[in-house]
Amino acid sequence: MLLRLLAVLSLVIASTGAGAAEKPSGVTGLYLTTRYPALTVRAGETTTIDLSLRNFNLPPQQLALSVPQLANGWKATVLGGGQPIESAIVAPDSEEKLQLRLEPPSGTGPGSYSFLVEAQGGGSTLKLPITVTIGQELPAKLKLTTNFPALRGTATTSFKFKVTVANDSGRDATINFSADAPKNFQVTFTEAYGTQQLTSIPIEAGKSKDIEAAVAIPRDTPAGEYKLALHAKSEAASADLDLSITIIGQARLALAGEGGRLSGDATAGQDSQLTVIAKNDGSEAARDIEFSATAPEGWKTNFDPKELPELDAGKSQSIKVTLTPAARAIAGDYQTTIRASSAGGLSESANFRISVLTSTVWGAVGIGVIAAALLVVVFAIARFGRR
Amino acid sequence: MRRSGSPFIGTGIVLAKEAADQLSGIRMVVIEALVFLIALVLAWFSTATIRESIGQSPFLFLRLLTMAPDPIPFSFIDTVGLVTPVIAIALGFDAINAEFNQRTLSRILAQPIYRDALLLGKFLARLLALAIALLSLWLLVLGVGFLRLGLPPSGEELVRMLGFLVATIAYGGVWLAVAFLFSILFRAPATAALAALGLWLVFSFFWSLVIKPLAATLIAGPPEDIFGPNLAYIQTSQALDRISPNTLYAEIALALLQPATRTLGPVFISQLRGALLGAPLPASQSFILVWPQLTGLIAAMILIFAAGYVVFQRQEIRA
Repeated sequence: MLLRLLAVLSLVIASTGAGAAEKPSGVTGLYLTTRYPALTVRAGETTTIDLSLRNFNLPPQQLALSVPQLANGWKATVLGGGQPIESAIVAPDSEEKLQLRLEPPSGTGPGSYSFLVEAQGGGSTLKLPITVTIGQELPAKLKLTTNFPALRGTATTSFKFKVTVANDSGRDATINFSADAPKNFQVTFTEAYGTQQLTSIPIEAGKSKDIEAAVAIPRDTPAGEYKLALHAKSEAASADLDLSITIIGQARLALAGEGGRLSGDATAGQDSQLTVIAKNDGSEAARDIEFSATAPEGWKTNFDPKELPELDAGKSQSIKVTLTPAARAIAGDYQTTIRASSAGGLSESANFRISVLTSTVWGAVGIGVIAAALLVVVFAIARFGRR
Repeated sequence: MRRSGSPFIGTGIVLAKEAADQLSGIRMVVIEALVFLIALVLAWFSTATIRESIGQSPFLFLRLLTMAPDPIPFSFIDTVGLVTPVIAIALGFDAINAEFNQRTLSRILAQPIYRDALLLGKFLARLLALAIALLSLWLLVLGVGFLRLGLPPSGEELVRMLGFLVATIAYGGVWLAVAFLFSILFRAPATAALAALGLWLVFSFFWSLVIKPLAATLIAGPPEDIFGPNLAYIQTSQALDRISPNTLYAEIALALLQPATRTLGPVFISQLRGALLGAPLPASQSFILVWPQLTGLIAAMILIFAAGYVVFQRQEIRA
């Protein structure tokens, strides 16, 4: 890129020194200036150049503004206070700020384009040549990087890759994300530290953004190493990033009653059977499973078997639980918690609702009381009857 | 000379005649009017309160019987517990002595029936009249409930309410037997009525408030000792309480009509550990819970009748 500095500064009338000074003593006249008379812009962009009109020690002057020299197809507008203007009056010892807006025609190629701004009035003409250069564009390029491309965890871990997307090209781009992952793996993209899922984000030229790629995997995924690839794609460029996830096996226990039931009946003081199904729905065998129960006070619980040395992944085993409510238990519903714990700190529990029924033996005693009362009547009749 | 044959020949005839007398008498009209008034007023206010305040309950019909509706301070079961003995006493207090006073007893016994049959027939006829009054009360409440709540009771509720009806009849039967016994014992109907009402007053108002605490303290010591509540006192006072038919009846009504009731006696905290409180008991378990009370009421009715029977058989009737 080249910068051709065109010496601009003062033009016409006062030929003495340059005029950027605030209030130079002895300087008299009208000046049309700009800070950067030669500049480089991006193709297809409208350029706005700040102009400055100054009056030193002269009565107010009306100046007609025009752009007599214009590159082919370009459109030039002089703006004052945000509106297109044709002329301006500059008060003595003051400055009027103006803008020159240059709109290139579509399809303008690289190269230098010259313009001339003219201010006429008070018997003088102020001229300001401006050169605009359109530079060569950078080739579009995307980059995907991450600090930790390989993660490790169990099938229930939520894997999150922090990925940086850089837009190393000369223009803004909207970048789409996609991923190639093993079957049933689900990859979602979110902004870094955000929760909103996204499929594409705009990135300014030369900037980069952090995004997060979260990978959700099925809970029954077997142990092993899995490869996945992230893709970022803009209109002109694309980038890939290879990632890997190592899944280590994990046992997971689940307890349920037979047929999913979590309730049972028991009679006070008598043994009653309850069948509990222990299932390993993890991805690795569970070892040394022990069963225990938290039952109301005075209850007895027994498990058959009490311990399981090993339960393979996906297998289930039915356990016979013998519950004996306390002999003096009151009828009604009670809660009993049955727990399975295995090596590796794994523990699972299920709450069972046990309806305690009471024995009907005392019912017979009640009938006996009535029978005894009737016997008294029978005796009374036998003794005193038929009178 | 020992007489032979069944002592109850003619019971059916006495029963039919007595029942006809009872049911067509002015006394029955008054009782039925009382019953209608109670049932309609209570059921009306209860259903109004239920419609206003309770959106959903698995035992809506039972709430109808147990709740104290807004302007009335008693629930249906309180009122029935109070009125049933009065009806029973009104039916029974002049059963035998009126016959004495009208000098018709010897005339009846001149017929070929034994005293056994006369006594049993009279008792059963009055029990029948009482049962009819209570059944109509029960049906009225059920009907008003249907009409005002717009839904039928569940099978479980119906079974519990039927149990409550049976318990009410047994409870009335006890007081009928008491009134019957007094009508045999006292020749003046007014004395018999006063004695029965006096006993009812004692059990209704004074037993639990005055007599029971005194007696329990004499037997088992003060209600609280230095370690907290005195268990012996609690058990003694409950045993004394259960001498009163009113207590037995109240316990039956509570356990049957409030399905979450698990026990009627003292409970240790340890027995409640792990219990899911508020869960309703199945109807069968509630019946097991009140079985001693229910059988106790029925047995008491039979025994008091037996006592009256023995006294009657030994009386001189020639008049």
